[in-house]
Amino acid sequence: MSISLLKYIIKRPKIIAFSTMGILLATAFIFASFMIGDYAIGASVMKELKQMKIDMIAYASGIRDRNKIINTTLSIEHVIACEPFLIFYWLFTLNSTKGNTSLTVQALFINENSSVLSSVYEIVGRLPKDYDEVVISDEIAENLNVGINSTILLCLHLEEETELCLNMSVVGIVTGISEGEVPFVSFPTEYEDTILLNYDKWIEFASQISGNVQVSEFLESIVNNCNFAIVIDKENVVDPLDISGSIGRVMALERKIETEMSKYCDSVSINNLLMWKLYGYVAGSFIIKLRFFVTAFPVLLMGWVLALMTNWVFFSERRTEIGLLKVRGATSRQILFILLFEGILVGVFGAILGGLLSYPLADEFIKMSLVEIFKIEPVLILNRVYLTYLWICIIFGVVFGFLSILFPARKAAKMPVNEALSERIGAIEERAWKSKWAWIFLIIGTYGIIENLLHQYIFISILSTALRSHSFFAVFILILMGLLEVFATYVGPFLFMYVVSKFVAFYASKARKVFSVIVKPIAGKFYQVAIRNFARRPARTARVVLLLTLMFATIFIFSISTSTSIQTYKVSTQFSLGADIRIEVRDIFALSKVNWTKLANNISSIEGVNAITRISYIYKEETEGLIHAFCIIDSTYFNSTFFKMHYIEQVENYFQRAFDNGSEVALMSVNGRKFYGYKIGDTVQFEYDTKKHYLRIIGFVKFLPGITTWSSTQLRQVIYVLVPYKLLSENIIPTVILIDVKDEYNQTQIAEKLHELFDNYDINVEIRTFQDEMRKYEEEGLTAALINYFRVEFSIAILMAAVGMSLIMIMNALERRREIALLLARGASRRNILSTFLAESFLITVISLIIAFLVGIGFAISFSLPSSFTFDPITGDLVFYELPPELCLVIGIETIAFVFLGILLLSVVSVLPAYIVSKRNIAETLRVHH
Amino acid sequence: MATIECIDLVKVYISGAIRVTALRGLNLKVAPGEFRVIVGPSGSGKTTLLNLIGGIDRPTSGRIVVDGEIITEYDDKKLEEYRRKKVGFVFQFFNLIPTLTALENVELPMILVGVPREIRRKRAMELLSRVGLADRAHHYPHQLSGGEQQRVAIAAALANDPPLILADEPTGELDTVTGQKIIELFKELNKELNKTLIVVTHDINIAMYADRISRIEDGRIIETFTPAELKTHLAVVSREERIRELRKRKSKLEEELKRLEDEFKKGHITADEFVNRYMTVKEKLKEVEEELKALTI
Repeated sequence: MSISLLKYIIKRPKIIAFSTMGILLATAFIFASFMIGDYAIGASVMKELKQMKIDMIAYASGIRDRNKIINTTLSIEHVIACEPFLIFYWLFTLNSTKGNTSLTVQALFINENSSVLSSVYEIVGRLPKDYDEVVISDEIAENLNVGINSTILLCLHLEEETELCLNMSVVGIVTGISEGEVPFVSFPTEYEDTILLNYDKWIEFASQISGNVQVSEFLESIVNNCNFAIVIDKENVVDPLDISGSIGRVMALERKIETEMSKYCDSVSINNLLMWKLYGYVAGSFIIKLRFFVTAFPVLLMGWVLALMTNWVFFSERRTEIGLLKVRGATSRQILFILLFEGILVGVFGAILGGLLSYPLADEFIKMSLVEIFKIEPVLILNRVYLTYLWICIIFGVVFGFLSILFPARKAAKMPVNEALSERIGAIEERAWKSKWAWIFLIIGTYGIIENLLHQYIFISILSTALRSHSFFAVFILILMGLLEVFATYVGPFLFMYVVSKFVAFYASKARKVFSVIVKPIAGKFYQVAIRNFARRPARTARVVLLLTLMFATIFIFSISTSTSIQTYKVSTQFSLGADIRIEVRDIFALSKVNWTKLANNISSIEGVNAITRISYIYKEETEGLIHAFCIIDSTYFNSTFFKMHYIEQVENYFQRAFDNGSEVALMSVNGRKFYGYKIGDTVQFEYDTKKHYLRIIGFVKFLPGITTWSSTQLRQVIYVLVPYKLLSENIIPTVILIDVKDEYNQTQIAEKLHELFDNYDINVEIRTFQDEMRKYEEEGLTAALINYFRVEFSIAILMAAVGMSLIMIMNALERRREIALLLARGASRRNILSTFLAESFLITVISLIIAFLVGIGFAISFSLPSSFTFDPITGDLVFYELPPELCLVIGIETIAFVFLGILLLSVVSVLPAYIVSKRNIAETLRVHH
Repeated sequence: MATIECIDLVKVYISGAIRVTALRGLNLKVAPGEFRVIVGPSGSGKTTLLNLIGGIDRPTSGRIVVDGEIITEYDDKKLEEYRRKKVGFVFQFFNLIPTLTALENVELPMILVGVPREIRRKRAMELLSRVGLADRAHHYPHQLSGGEQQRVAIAAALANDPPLILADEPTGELDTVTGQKIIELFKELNKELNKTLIVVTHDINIAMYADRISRIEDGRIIETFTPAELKTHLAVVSREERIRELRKRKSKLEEELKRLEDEFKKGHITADEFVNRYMTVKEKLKEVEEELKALTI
């Protein structure tokens, strides 16, 4: 390529500025997204590995020299600790010296210098230094009523019911597991029934008393077999940004350790905890990157549409120039090559700028949203990946530039010279549209949107029919349909946007009446001009409509999905908990010993507690797999926060009083009426404690938060029957206790007090609070970070749309400067002129908004709302059920704010060029631009 | 040098429902090394004829033979090669790429045929010297006057040493003196470099420099004569007859303007289309009025 031609290409600041913008913004956002993804993966790996105490556990049997095993393992590069330990389960019992309590415990043999192993536990005191010293758990200490320096009796149970008992001195007490990750297998993490003994001293001790045959077997066991806790120098072995490579290195290290250890024992098996941990990240890292890519995809698409649109517009503007090149002897291929080269150059330029911008963007975002969570400085990860991404940016720019210029360049290169030079033919952009695929795209797109809106109902109902037909052919067709379904639901809506934007622009003249309704309020008597301008360059209009549609769709899809997902999780949690605080009783026996009235009084006395509801379940299986689930509840259940009165149908007015009084009445789930013909006044027999009750049905319930999911009450199989607690009163123990909390109180604090209370009663319970569950969801799901991420994405999308709109309006204003001057000359005011431009842009915006809303709502429903049908497990039919009314699409204030911001910005950029043109001298414009 | 023969050329433009016949069986023969001027009123088919000879458009029917080769039978690729090697074009305006300097603009056709850098630079400089613009070689088109731009365009047209130079209203945008200079330059090139030169104009003064002049009207060559014959011819055609003809033409154009305004008001044509057509008719009207004015004074 000659330097002259290069100059020909690059000396176009206007083109470069506009063409670059789409590529620049898309690249910056996408690569920032990838870097944020890298940070999220890298930082979580770093955080978790830091907390990992033991990386490998090797089990060696037939040991010939334990010390040599340790030394040779430690001599391997990257091994920083190798500590021996052994566990014996069910071999030891501890007895208080008084001999009245005996506990079976597991013994962990470690040495007093075992820093890694001992770090797993929080120990008060010290590790045992001699065979007659022991560390016990605080639980054991409490049970045996002993403390540090106390003496306890340790019995070693040997075969043939013989035992060896020793007086042991308590030198330390384990008070808990230390913070951070402990191995999930092959190491006793349960501290409550664990005692710690000195490994070496016990070998010596067992040798001393080895005359005893049984002791010899024990001795042989602890001498010949041993576990080794191995710690690796993870900082140098594991690269958080190269998980696959790290797995390879860790596996190689494992093989080396195995080989070295095998020299001094008969067999070695290694549980490579670190490797399993890393494996967990392989899929995770891929999924995170994929998620980021999918999320950023609309912006990528927008960038491409913007760059493509710019190229079309500028090629139209340079039509005569291209004609001149041809006249001067350039072949079509040369023109194509020049233009492609130009596109690629601009692509690379934009991508490099975008790449440079992606770093501060990612850095700022991480600092704003993620550093708090991971506690890892962004620079540690970003600096590692940045250079690689910068290279990828260049490749990305080449591909992006090529794809964004290919179609206009081909059209320009193929354009006949006379057309290129003709003053009458206005543009390279097409004036008519005859896509063979249009109707197919429209059908697929419409189907995809409908399926998204209906949660793939059409496909699933066909699936249901096909599966029931038991035909291989049907299944084969189904597989093909499955692929089409995925294509239609994910790609279809994008095809829909493309094809509808084309239809709207190219057939605008047929919709004049509809359009006039939109533009008349703005353009007034000039509304026809606005509509004509909209239809003047249909290809260009179609592209800007597509760009804006993508922008609005991005906002709708992600903002509505996010707010709806939060709402869905909130309702799910409400159904899972049933009240502000849910207490699951683990130890019913312990609770049975407690006086409920007293306990209830104690709970009520906690400040902030509003009401207490007891729930107990009794299941009774009827014929044909039908189950009656009798839920014995307090009447307070109906007043709890998450229960809504409209969940009950056909209820008798006195139902709550009847529940209060403990009458023989019941509320039944609606499936009883629907599938089994129960009606008000029928009786259900309920037997408890040999006493039969005939419960009269006084109403039907649609949803039972805290008892079951929203669908179970409407499907077959299990009929839920709510029975007044008072009817059985003191005879039944609650398995669940729901606590309603007054609005302004902190549920976590109340839960802590409840924990204390139940601890005092020695009742094992699990307590969950609504506030904590929601907080956990937001923290673990990075909801806040995700919301911020979407804000950035929306802003970039709006910016791209504004650039696109301003480009179109600048070109329109320039091309129509004669028309503007003529209108002004004939008495039109500047306001009239501006209003036609504003009306045109408003028309584009409204059309885009409508298309995007359809697409966005479809995706949002599909992504974030649960479906309202399922397969009937018995018949295989599709069964519909109602969703709680609280489960609905949430169009938050943020969605509205971003849409409004978009419209505002688009209006400003569309009027500005016309304003500038309209300020030019009329006579001059008419004279010069004829 | 190139011999050109146009035989029964017909060119019909079709734009939607509108058919415009630009050439109606035109016949023309240009001898090698000849300087031929085509004169005629606006819309008579001058530019169409030039485009067809230059291979940038194809006739609806008829043949064009250049140096014994029927170029109207060429495929696109051959036509590209024909344009590249045999034709040099000079237009009324937009002859230069605005982002390239004068030198680079002259170099461009040579780049396209792969002339080595050193050779093309030397030749480009020679050509610029020839048109008297060596000192303006590194100026951009917007830094040059209209006449200078046309001279650079002529140099660019000569870059690949084509035997045939086609110029479409090359002086149309220039003042009389500059136009005169440009036409003198053409004459000079014709004589010294022995190029066949076809220049389209409606300026009768320029035509006087040609070897022969062809008058085109309504898509046909009405007559061909030498500049000397033209002088006689002009004297023969009575002034009154011309005035009558022009007045008739003027009223027709005025009617056309009225009709366009009506169509625009009724919304039958877009503003853009209206402005385009309005300006074209207005331009023709201006030409007629100027000639009328000159004749009636």
